[in-house]
Amino acid sequence: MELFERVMCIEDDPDIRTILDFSLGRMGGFKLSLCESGLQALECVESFKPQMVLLDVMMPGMSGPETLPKLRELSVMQGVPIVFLTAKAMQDELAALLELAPTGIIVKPFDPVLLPQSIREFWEAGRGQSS
Amino acid sequence: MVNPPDGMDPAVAAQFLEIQRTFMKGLPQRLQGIQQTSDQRARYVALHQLTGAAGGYGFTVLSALARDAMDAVRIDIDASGALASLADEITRICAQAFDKGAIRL
Repeated sequence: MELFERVMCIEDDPDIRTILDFSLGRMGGFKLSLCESGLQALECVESFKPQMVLLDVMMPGMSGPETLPKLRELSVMQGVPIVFLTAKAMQDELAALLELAPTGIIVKPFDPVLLPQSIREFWEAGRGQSS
Repeated sequence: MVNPPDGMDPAVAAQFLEIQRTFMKGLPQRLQGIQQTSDQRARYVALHQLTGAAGGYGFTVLSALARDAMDAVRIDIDASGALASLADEITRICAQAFDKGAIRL
């Protein structure tokens, strides 16, 4: 049985990276790769081999929706769930994100205590799918 | 200050309080940036970030007020009331933290 332990978080806001580190690293026990841009993630993804990616939507430079297809092109990312992180909670904004077929969307703010369990559920549901 | 969730390991709870404290120290500067910029896009981004961060640190009221202000900026209506409420809440949080000795000048 595959052990779920490596999560890549792509998030430009240092506060959110701190919370992710606390929630998923300290509390959840995951091995994390914390990237502050899509470009940095693309450089790290081959060596880190994430089992799940949490991808912020609104980032300067390359946004989450722009980063997603570039990640999916990589062989190391085949079957790896990608979940958007966003503070945009308007229905029209969420609908536009769902058209990009992510594994899921986590709306910020998220509860750092509950996040590890949430991503485990996304991983169970989304791993191996060739989206 | 917001108490760590019940049942949290004491060592983890102490770390949570520490990162929360760091976040609170930065709130006045964040507010100043939001109030002083004339760039609506920059204001929207700052409010967007505050919405996500505040909630993650357990400041649910602050997060909701930041979202109200963000939505007002997004649809280009008068955000002054929402920004005033946000400022009041940040002042309240910082005063409370100062009284408890969690942050110092």
